[in-house]
Amino acid sequence: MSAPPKSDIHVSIEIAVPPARLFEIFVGDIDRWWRRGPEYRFFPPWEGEIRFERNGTTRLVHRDGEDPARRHVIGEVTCWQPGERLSFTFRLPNFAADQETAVDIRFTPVGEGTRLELVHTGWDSLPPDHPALHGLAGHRLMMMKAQIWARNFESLKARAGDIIAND
Amino acid sequence: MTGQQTITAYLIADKAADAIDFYIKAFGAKETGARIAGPDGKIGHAELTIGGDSFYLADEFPDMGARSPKSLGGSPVMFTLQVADVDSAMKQAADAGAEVTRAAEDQFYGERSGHVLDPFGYRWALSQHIEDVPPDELKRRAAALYGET
Repeated sequence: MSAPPKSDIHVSIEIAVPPARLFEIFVGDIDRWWRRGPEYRFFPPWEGEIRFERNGTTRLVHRDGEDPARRHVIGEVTCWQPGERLSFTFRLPNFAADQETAVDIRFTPVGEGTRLELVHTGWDSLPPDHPALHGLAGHRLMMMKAQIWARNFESLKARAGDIIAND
Repeated sequence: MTGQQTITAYLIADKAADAIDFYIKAFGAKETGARIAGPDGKIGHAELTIGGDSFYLADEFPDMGARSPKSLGGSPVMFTLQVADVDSAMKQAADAGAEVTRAAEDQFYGERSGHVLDPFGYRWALSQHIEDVPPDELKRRAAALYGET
């Protein structure tokens, strides 16, 4: 069996919220904890709204109002197991139609809280000159992409803490 | 990157996951930020806090210039930890696997301190404030120890 690509991303964090509640916050409050700015959102002015939309399938979408020109489908949900697992495809606006990566997130109970573990694969399937790779490969590419998830997860941790404090 | 410090130490350790476990046991550290790892399990970034202060930690990545004290033959850097009870803190560190390189003893400047070397090659000075020493008394004690200058 060949080794997994060096650019596969593994990001984890422990959050003092039980898995079922954390899952609710993750999906229901995603626009609040998903950071704003060009590193995190998908089109300028890097704000808009990120949300899951259900219409037959469930999609993760970044949109700005109802304008279809200001809408990016980040990906399609492939696994929705509340309190346990969430998986979706993941595309950037500059991906070709046949290009996508995959995100898999596990919610594992740890004491009274949750260990959130994300694996993001598929960056190596893009051509090396793809602008989404910024000329990077392997470990350097992994670190650049992983930092974005890490900062987002730290934002989720802070947001979940605020919500739990007011439950 | 949850900390707001201006300066933050970034430790490189052989087997960073073990180092995180050690710092939790030895010094009561908490892992506060998200942990980034590669597919081989090597840690690319982790964030710990001791007291209210953060430091970062990663595995060795020699091709990126990240080498640990084990690869370099030691570290010239010493960290200091201010603790409430240095004797119990030294014992806790030793029980977790640190080597005591200088037993705790009272210092003329009003601290009781000792040194340990952790299993990953970093030196730590543990210090407990035991006395406010006025400047004149500090000068007198220093002179008694080292002679008048």
